[in-house]
Amino acid sequence: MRTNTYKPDITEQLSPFLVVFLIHASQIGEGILSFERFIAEKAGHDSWVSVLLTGGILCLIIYLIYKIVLRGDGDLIKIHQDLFGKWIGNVMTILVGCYFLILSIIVTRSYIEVIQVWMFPELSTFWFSAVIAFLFYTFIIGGFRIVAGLAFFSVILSTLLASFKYVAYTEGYWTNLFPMFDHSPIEIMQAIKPMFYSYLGVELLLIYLPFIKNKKQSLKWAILGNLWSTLVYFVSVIAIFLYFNQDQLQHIVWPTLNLWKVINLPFVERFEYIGVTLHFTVVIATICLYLWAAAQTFFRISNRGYKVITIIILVMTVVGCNTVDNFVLIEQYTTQISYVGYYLVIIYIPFLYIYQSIWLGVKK
Amino acid sequence: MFRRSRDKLLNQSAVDAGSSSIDELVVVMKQSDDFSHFEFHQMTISFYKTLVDQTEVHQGIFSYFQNNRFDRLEEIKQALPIDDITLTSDVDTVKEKMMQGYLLLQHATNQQVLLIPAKLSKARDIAPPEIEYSVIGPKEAFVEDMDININLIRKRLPLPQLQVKELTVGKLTKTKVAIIYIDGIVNPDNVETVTQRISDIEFDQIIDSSFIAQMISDNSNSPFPQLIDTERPDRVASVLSEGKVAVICDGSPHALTGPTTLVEFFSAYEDYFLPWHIATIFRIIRLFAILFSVLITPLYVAVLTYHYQIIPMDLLGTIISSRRDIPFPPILEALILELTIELLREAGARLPMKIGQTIGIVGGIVIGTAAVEAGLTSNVLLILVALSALASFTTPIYRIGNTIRLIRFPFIILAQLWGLIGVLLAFLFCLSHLLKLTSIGRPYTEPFYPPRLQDLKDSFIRAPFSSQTKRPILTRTSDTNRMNASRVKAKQGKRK
Amino acid sequence: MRILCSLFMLMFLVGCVSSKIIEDIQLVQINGYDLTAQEQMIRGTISIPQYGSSEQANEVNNIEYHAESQTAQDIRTKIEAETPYPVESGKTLGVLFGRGLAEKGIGKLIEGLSENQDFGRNLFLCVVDGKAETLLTQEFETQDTIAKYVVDLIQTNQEKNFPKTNFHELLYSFHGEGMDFFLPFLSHTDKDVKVSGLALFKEDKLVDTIPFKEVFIFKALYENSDDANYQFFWAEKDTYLTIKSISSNVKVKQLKDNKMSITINMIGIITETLSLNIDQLNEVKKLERALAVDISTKGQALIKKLQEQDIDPLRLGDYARSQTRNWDYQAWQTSYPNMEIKVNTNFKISQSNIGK
Repeated sequence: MRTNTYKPDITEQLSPFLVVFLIHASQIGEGILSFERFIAEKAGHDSWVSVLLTGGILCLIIYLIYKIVLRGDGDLIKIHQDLFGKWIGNVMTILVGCYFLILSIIVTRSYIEVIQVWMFPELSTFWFSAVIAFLFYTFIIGGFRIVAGLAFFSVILSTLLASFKYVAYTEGYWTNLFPMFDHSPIEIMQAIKPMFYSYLGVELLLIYLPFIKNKKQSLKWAILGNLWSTLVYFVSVIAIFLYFNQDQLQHIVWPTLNLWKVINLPFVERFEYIGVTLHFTVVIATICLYLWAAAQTFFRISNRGYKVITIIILVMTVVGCNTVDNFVLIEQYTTQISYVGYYLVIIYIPFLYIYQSIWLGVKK
Repeated sequence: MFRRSRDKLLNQSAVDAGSSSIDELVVVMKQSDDFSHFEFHQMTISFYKTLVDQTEVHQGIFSYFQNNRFDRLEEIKQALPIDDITLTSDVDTVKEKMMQGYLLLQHATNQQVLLIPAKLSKARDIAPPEIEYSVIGPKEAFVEDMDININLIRKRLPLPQLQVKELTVGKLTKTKVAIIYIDGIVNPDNVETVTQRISDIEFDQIIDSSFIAQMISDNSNSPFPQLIDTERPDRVASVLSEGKVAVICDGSPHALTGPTTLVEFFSAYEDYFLPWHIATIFRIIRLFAILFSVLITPLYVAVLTYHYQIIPMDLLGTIISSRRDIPFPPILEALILELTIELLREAGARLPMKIGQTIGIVGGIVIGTAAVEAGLTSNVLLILVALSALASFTTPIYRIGNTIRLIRFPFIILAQLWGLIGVLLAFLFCLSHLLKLTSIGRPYTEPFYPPRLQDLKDSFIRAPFSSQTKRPILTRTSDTNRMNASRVKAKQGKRK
Repeated sequence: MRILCSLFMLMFLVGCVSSKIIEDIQLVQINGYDLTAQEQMIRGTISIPQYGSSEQANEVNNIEYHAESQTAQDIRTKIEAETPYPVESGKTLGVLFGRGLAEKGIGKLIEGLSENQDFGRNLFLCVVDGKAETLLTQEFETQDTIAKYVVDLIQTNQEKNFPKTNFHELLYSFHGEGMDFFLPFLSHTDKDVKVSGLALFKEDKLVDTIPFKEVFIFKALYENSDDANYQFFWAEKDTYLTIKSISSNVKVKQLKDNKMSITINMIGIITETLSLNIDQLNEVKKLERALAVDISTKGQALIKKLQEQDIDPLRLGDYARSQTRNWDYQAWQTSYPNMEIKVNTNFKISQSNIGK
């Protein structure tokens, strides 16, 4: 069933419109709880422009990825091997695979941190990460179809959760958004970099695109998925800016969770507890997609079984989660890996595209 | 160990090894006291008294022999006005037919023997359905006889394309199993899968269709049933015309149908007899009932053990007051109460009907109030557990109700471990299992994932018949159109 | 499978987090903080409701605990030494500050509260005239707990004449530039608690209060409302009138040269006017004008008072920020006390009552 080629079996392939959910699920993750603070640091109340700009840039990147994959007729592993030869190509693939793995470890750890801060201060990182690693295992071992299924359900949840930001629109202050464009374009451009962490996820297309039937047709769905994420981020950022003023925002680590604190439904008070719980699904979907991508990358370049590789990766996840045990470090690592992702997406992918164009030209 | 010794027995015994000649077979059979064996003119007649219709034998067959004289078996075969008379010399055929209630006729001058059918078939009358009872709609249910069951289906689908494939499974029971489908609608892959899986069954006894269901399910270790078993011929006829495959097993009043999805287990057949909006609301209520039933006790445990913050202020007093005197933590309280309810249900199911009803009263009223008064459980939890038990009985297919009662327990345990996060993890484990599950190779969570709009029309909603122009995508039918949309006409005689 | 099972058992033994079973904890409903007699330490009082067992579920008593220390967290630790069960503050409804403490500054306490995720953001914070402790230990004629009594009192008032306050609004003004926060001001007798006005803060120190009858004016200037009542002395007819169900709408406008104007549009229903006979149009107009002038002058006076104290609870600075590019907070601070702020009111009487 899981063959070591870049052309998956028809039973493992998905219909093109599911790419909407895959893109959306891989983008929306842990970042949505706190990105407003990081971008507001750079461009204040005008940083919502950066949200839209980043969304626009990513539409372009998605187009480039599609071009790369369609021209190379295979996943990143095959393209690397074609372009750089077997050895250098595989080394670069391993680097990208390590990035997937490290990112998922950091996201896992930082969400455990959220749970520890908001719900269970004495939660044991080791046991909890072990159990969720087992949960990841049950998903990843089922193959891409199952991981995509989780992504699909998580999108429904994340959209539902985003709708709970309505309180900000009824109780917030619209004056917070004015005067518009009070920050210089440079400041707004600077906010793109921290914003990128929340938008990461499109680079996974390089790995999972061969699993989509009718790839060409799915481009429009991928763009739509990205636009949907942009909309969700836009609604969130506006909500947070309406509800908190800029000075207050810098005192808050997770603005969204603070916003949920005021929601009192007739049967449930203090919505943040429900929110942290339900949002965990969304984060798990993101992590599963990344871990699956890591497993798939290492599986494709090695000759070991998929199961073995998955287990090794998950053991590394548990170990990784337990070595980072300080919230300052977590935030520092998050920033660093987000920069790696930023450069991967914004520099490496265009580079790959150009290099491929030249290579194809020479070959002709 | 037990099974191994039985295997040995099977391999050595005459049952399996067979006799080398017909005479030897008769000798073996004679050992049984219900075996009749006598000579008549030049012929030897032998049969099982308990398997044949004695009136038929005496009036229909023996009277023939008395009035006419036959010298050759072929003459008898031609003369007797009975269908399906076989002339054979094969020992295995003889054995098989005799076990089905055939008369064995041996002639001194002939190597071959004649087998005359005189089967005694006793089946109970067709009764109204008991498990899938519906107030509106047809009131007949399958019985234990396969021929009658197939007859019930055929009456509803008078088509030459309705195909019945018969197989025999079970080393000892030799159960007849029929695979039914409509040729031209069904996807041949599905039929092939089912046929292959049934003929591969390797087991000595197949007593009921549920044996087959457990053996041919895609994942036999899953608590979720992957084939619907129904006692309603109308339901079977309906799913056959959706391109599904039905399996009927002789001796079982339940037909199996597949491929199926999770939501199909929550659709009662009565939904199709009601107007579509009413049916839709009933289905949604049922789905909520299921969610409630699975989640409410775990949530109670999680919230009371860890997340007192989310209890609304006005409810807090009530809950604390009701918990004040309870000596157990919420998890034990919940487990005790859940097990009590399971006990009541189990006792009610095992006892004869009339006593069973009193068990409900004893359990519900006496134990319930006494437990609260004695301070063993809080009345809030008592209400919740009783409600969730009630909700689990709303499932139209009995089998999924069992599943729902079972999967509640891991949820409760994880709720105790990590509160709401634990409940979520249990839910996700469940989701990963469901996503991986298939029913005859088709995704079990369809139409939600993979999302298929067309199949959503008959899932947790039931769209009007006029909008269901196509057969479900799930079954990948050869003929997808349910009706010819171009021939739909405006209603006549409607006032404007 | 066996390994999995044993792992699971192990997880149960090791992985468990400490539980907070609802009847084995003591839920704080209201906190009170006062300055001690020596003005060195903070004296904390918490009130914990005691619920009866199922038969007498309605019987609710409070138990109060006290402790003194420099920080709120230490007060909590000291209190826990007195209580049989762990104290949990996840269901806290309100926090009261004694007047003395409020005058000395409550910034640290507020930051402490805002850091703790256990507290909701719908918390009510109030200043008590006198000591919070005496209010909390007083026996009042109420069915509910003291916390619920006080919170319901504030909540009901907020739907009427009182401006909206909760913990989030406080933090919003506390951290934000160009605004100062205010809190409800409570006073109490032996029998009952009363909302007696607003306590105005500068930075984190109490500087002034607004009496209850002026709160209506404050609310009209501060936010839109839809169900306020106002008693008005009509000098022309020498009579008192009450206008009810006033819905008001406030618009701030920044004019050039250090000027601001606030426009209030109000619609209300007059009551107890049978003897006045105001069914002629010009009579109604006259009344509307008189009302408008009255509210404007009172508003003007209130703003003058605020400017003199150099406090900005009306968040005018924040409004100015939203209207000015490259807003300079320092410049605003120097100009605010001398700024010319005009209040214009338009009043409309929508209908009289069912009497004729």
